Amino acid sequence: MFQLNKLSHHSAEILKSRWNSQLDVIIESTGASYLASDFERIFDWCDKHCRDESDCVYILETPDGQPRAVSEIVDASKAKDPSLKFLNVYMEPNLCTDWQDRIDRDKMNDITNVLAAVVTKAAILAADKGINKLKIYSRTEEMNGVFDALLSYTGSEVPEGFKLYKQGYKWLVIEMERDDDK
Amino acid sequence: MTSKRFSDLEEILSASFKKILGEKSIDELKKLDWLSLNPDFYIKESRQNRRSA
Repeated sequence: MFQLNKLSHHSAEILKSRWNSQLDVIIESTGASYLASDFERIFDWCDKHCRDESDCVYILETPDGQPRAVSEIVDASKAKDPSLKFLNVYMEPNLCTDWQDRIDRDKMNDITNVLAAVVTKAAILAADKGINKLKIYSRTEEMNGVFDALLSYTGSEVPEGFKLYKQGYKWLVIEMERDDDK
Repeated sequence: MTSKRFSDLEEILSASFKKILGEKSIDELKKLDWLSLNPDFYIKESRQNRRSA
């Protein structure tokens, strides 16, 4: 359903256009004008990465090109413990909690589907590059708590071929069985 | 690693996130870096509210 594609000038322009349209509606109905500058920082960040031709920003898109999230994923395959590092994800304005008083079930389903998709696609990206670890960063204590709950909840339900564990305090690791491990 | 296994991973992650995030209040969700652009603001606000309570 979703695709994870490297950010390009073209996709950055589409992201700006589509997300600004969402912001117009949200700001009109809620008065949350601060969101404009918050998302402007994200758009500037995307533009900078395009100018620098860095290859660590990825857009999660629907098949018809609607950008749902943008993520920073860094190739650390040359490190002593090779991995792909998932550093951050920004959701589209409609799914961002800052302006909302409550999240209904449909929206929560949408949020969780987008999060699961972007993490899984990042794991596939790692596997395609021959890297067997995706390390996911939690910046806040609260996000770290979500990772702990995820480990507790998934427990024995983790699919065959994967291991999920914490490394240090801030990193959740998805380790994938290599084809040559069999 | 087959695409079926990655689909299974996505499914368990989605179910897990639904369970974990579904139990949080909107104030708690705003403190998560993945769901908010200003988690530090909401974390600080929450601590200040607790101190003045």
